[in-house]
Amino acid sequence: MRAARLCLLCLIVPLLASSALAQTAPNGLAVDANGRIPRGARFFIRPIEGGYDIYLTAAMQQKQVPIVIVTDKAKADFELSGVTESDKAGWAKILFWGNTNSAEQASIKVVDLKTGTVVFGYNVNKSSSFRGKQSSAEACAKHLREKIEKGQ
Amino acid sequence: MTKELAAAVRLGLCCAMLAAASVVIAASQTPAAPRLRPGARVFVNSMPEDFDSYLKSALVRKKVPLVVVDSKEEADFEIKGTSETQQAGTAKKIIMLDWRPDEQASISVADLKSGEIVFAYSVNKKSAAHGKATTAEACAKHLKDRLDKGR
Repeated sequence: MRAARLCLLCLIVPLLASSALAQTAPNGLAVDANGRIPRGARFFIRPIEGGYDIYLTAAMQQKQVPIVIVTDKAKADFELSGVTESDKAGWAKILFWGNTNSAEQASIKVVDLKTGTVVFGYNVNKSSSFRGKQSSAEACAKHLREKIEKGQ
Repeated sequence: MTKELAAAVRLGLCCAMLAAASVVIAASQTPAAPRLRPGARVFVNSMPEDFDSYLKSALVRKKVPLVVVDSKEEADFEIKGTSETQQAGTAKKIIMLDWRPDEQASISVADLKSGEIVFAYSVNKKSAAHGKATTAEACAKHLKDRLDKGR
């Protein structure tokens, strides 16, 4: 009797595992009810003012964020959108601090396209950004990677 | 009873192996990321401040092994990008004695069939000696490196 139960369990576990896999496999859509971003998720980056979306794309590659960026929203699991603002160094900053770096701020959010919920958000403010928009984009990418790696 | 248990354990192991095999097969069926290969046909989309012209020149100058086409329909990949120039202000000119502009640019290369981004790069040059040509050539150089590495 115990052996029969064990057999049944052995059959059910792989079946459950395969059904869980089936939720992620068809048409490449990732399904995660816990608001998590799975590795290999397909991201669509919405165009952002000043071409910041392209800086974000480059930052994702530079920081090796484990996602696939697609250009078609229909093929994506998540949508990333954001805003950015740059402030050129004024004469006082250059005169008193000898600093020509711009001040950058940006904010991004990631929406699960299936559930419509925001699964990640991050703000960055760099008062003296050495590499301009690239620095703020890389900060966003770094924190997104941390979120994916932690699996929260 | 012991024989029955051993048989059940064997059956369980078989099931576990089958489940593991199905996971491996499913993983192997995931489409591989498209590759950017030498000789690929690329379309350079229009960019702010005519950066596309600088980029096309830089691709030739840096001998990037890609074929630039005029029509998107003929291309395998599309290059999109953005560029920004910050001219030296009066303070920078007087205090730093520097007339050169700060340049930043970013490009991304998308596979037109799958829609996936296969390469992206950002560059920021303080006091770029040759303006946009400097950033365009940095982008071209890194694109060439990627092609040479074949990743």
